[in-house]
Amino acid sequence: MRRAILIGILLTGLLSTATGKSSITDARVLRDDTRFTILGPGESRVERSYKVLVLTARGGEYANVMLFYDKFRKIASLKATVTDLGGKVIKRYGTGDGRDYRYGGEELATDMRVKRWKMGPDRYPYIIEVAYREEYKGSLFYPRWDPVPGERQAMESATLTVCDPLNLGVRYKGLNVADPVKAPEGRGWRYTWSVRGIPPRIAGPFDAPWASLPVVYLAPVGFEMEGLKGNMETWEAFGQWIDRLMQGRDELPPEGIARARQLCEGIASPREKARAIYRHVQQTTRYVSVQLGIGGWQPFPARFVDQKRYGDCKALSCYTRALLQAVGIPSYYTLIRAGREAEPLLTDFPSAHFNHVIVTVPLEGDTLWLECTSRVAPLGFRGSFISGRHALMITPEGGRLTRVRDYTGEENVTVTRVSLDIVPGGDVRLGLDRELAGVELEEGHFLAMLERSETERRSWVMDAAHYGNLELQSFRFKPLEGDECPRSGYEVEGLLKGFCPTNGDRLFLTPFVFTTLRDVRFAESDDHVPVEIRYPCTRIDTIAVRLPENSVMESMPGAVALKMAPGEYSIHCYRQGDVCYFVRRFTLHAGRYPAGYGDLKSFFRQVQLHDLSRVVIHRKKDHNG
Amino acid sequence: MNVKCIFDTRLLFIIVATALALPSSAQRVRFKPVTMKEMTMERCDFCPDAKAVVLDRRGEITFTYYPSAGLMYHFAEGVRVKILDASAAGRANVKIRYYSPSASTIENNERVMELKGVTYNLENGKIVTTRLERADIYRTRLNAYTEEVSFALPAVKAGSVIEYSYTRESNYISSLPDWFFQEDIPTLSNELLYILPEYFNFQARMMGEIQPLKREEKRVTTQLNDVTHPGLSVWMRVQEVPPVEEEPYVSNPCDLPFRVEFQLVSVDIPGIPVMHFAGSYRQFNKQLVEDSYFWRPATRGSFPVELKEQVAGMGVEAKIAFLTRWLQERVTWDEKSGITASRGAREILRDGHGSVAEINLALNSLFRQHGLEAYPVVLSTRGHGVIHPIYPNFDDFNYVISAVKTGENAFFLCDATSHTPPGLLPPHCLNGPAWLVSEGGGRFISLETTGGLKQYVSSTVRFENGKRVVNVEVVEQEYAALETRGRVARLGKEGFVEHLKERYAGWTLSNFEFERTPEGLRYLFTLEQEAGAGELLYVTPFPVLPGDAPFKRDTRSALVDFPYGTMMSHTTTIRVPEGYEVEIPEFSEFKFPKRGAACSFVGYMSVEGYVLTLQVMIRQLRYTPDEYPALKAFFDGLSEFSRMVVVLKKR
Repeated sequence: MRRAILIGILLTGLLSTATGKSSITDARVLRDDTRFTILGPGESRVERSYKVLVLTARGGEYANVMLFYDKFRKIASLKATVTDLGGKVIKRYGTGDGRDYRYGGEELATDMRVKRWKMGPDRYPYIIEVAYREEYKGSLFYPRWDPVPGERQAMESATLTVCDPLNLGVRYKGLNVADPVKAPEGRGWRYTWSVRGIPPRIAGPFDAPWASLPVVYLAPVGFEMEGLKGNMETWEAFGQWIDRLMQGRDELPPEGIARARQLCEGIASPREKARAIYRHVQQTTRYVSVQLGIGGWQPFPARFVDQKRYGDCKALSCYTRALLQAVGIPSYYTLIRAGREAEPLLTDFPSAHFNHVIVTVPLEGDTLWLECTSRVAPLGFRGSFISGRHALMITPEGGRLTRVRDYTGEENVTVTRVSLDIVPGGDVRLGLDRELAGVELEEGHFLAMLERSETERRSWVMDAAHYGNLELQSFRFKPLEGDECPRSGYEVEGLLKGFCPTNGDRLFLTPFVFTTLRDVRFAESDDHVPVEIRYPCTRIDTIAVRLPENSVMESMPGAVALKMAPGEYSIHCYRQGDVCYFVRRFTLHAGRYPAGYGDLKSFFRQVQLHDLSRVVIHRKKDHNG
Repeated sequence: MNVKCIFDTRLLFIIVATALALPSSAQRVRFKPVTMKEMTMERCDFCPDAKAVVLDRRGEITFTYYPSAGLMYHFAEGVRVKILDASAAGRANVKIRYYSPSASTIENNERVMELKGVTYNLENGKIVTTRLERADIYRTRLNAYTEEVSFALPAVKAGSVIEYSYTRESNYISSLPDWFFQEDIPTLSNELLYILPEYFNFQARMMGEIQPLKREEKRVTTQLNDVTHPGLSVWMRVQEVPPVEEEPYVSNPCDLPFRVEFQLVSVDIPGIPVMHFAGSYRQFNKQLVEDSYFWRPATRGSFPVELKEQVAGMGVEAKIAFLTRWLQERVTWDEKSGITASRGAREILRDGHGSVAEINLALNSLFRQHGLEAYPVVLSTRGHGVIHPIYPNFDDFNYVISAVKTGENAFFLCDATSHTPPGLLPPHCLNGPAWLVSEGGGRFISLETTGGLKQYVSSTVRFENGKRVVNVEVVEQEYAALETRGRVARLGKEGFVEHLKERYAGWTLSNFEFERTPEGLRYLFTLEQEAGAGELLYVTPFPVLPGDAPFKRDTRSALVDFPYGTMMSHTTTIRVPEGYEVEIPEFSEFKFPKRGAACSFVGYMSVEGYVLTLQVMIRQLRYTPDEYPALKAFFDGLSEFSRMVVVLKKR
């Protein structure tokens, strides 16, 4: 009987493949149950148990278990059993079978460690059942429940049970999930969420899974870490706890204060003072990550950075703030969830889901957000790392939400001017001049190149030449100018070998190759989570082709003007004397698009198609004009 | 099983510990005081755009005897670096890893001591010293075998000179550390001194991009149990060494830096029989054949008796395929590499998993016990460095396969950890020559003959109802088939079709068919596109060729090293519509000098239509930096075929 049920499930998995809803199911989560129990003000426990049918090698993620631990989290036990579809045990695993590693590798020092169990045979299918228990000391973080498995994995059933038997209080926020069932437990309550029948999905460009997938965030009411008590019911209260961690950490030694004042001597404008301080931090300190114990939340003192000239984001931000304070500029230590694709902060659910610290400098007329770990960022440059999201400023009164300003499509601009001079045989002399502004500076790691050597920049120019076989003659990087919305760029001169294939009197040229969407690949399936374009942009290419003598354009791309919700695209070609101009204009608008790519995919596909437009040039001598 | 157990170091340890003692000479590297010239240096003359330069790196290897702990070696290292640009300040974040097994049963151990660090800055014309404090030094266990000491030197900015030194003490005396003369920033001076007791015969092998080197060797006297005994002192120095360049498509980046590697060849202590280690491949082979962690699992093991009946009457290849599959179905590779096995066939069959050595040595034994003449072959995988052609080093080998002799000089190579068809090794194994271990003395064996990337594309282009319709058939064998099969397994068949659709943007793709064949695989599809019906029709005859040439840079300092050769043939037949004639572009055959790679193209009229055939053959697998421009031109030329246009013109 058991066997029959399992095979039935397997067939269901395979059938969903055949219906074309998704191209393949790599694993099917039969059940996944998590129980979170609050044992005391600073103690809690997570017990998770799941059973997964693994169908392919890619589905093996459930058999590759990684559990993290540190001073505040302990792995109490793990048990796992791998069986075949008939229920025959292939292998059992226990706590001791895990391999122990230091977590990460980027940090100079961290006490975060990981235990990894690599289980399961490489013959499919098989079933894996895993149960583990983790014990938490300190209640700053309660786990986030995110039951939907990865790409191409289906889920039958998942539950989260939160037990608060002592009635200490627990806060929760569910997104895309039904309200919990509440029942009494001990002196307090038990809450249960469940999710069923999630089909497999495919990830793609601009995914915004958090907008549609079920997730439950948990947070304490009162919490404590290493005996430091706090309250998380409001941002204000949480900010007060952070502020307490910072007590006395922003004090500079007298020589540090003197140095800050000396840097700003003769400068009246607060903005220029901030510039002098920020530049000093960039030039004389470096980012070094040390995350030990409560040090993961508490910065090294400004005094330490002043002496050692290094620190992590917390320490460098704290130090920058101290310097600004020394010259009378108020600023705030600010917690943020950084990253190009980071999930948005839940503004109505105070919790400790931050991964980075910056400094907010409220200036008259405008606010500056300072990324203190970057050596090259101009004053107030927010980039894709921190722009367009909420952050928590720590003020003497407590936490206060602020929104780091977005960049607009008019600010994120790439302008490319290309001149192509066709020489006999089909080679082309190239002159390329590209200007980048705003977040567009990050394209192709250009911003990082600004602090590299000429040799490395030269290699970068050649490696980035996907537009043709470039014989590089010269290049030049432009200086970085501007603050919040900086500009820079580069110029390239060289020969594009075999750029125009020839056939008798005809030359063929594909002009729209200098800016493309060649790396954006959408899945065929429309069965999809919502998408979000966070970083709008405008990219304008003007390609000027000098025709060889006595030649005409035999075939030119017609004018194109696409205007759709996600963006606009146009192609416009004209001739002046013996030069033909091809103008390509591409605009991407910021916004969220509901499930299914719809317009966005259609827009990108049309652009990709038009970018392939080819020009035929005919030498006239055989045609007598 | 770590390679460190390959010979009984414990025995060696006991013998040498009781037989000899050297004066304690563990000395930290000490530099001369930093100079004003170093402090005011603004750029590196021989590498003007460097952001940092190694002013001096020094190493000293010496042996010491402790009555309590026995014989140790000390490796003292000191580094002084000039920070020319603030962007290079990260050089002052230092991590030193050392062997430190957590299991107390392993006797070999290392520790890092006498760590000192300092930063010098020029302030108001004076040199200001900031020292590394003990509280800012961190020790972390990375895994069961390795620990790390890490620190960040303080007060570093543009213009700083940073300096640190430490000593690593080790009782793992049979393996001395490699010493690097070259790194990713330029080096002004780098020197190594090693003093070895005469009884230890280490071979010091110069590896990587050879640079001019000064070397002095002299006999010295050392103290042994109050008696003076001879020793050997070697000093080497390089100056003005350029940095190692970071380049794409380097299969063994670890082979690039100029360095010296040590291999213990023999220990010859008076009164004790000479102990030989791997000074030559002959000795290396002997060592492996005598090693109970290698030869025993490769030749012995118990397997079910019914297997004998099942393979009875099978031909050699069928038997190989059957036995390989039998083992593959029962054990999974746990991703551990190495060449020695701590468990035999019985244990891995019981546990269902094993290291590459455990699985493939068991495979070798399985072959032997079923009448096949099989030998284990040890090799170094891509990325792990190419093995030395004359001097073997145990640490250089990290993988084992099994070779079944099928003819006088013919072998069938098998790897039961991967899912490649029998006889075709996974590409990570194809990294230069390998060593076949046999009772008779062993031999080098080339793995490069095991297969190639074989792709045969034939397509027919016709014009119908204003559309250009192309029927494409792709036949793939060996590594081409392996790559496509891997992609289909990863993406699923539908995902593979999507991948093709992306590749042929601008076309409508239909009629996809896919089948496995005994030789590999075959797939078919149809592409359609609007063509118009004017005076001129255009055809791109080789759309399947990749349009992007792989080599972008104009010069290169590392070898280009392909794992396997390539044989491609693309044939396109254009059905010329009534009333049209064909104009084809001029293209001539081009070859790589010395015929290592060749590309030929022909076009002719046949009854079917106009036929264009492009053939590409790449035989030579390694290309030196001198050959690189010609290789780049070859691939650039090949990429031009993807853009080639044939014109059909109305008569």
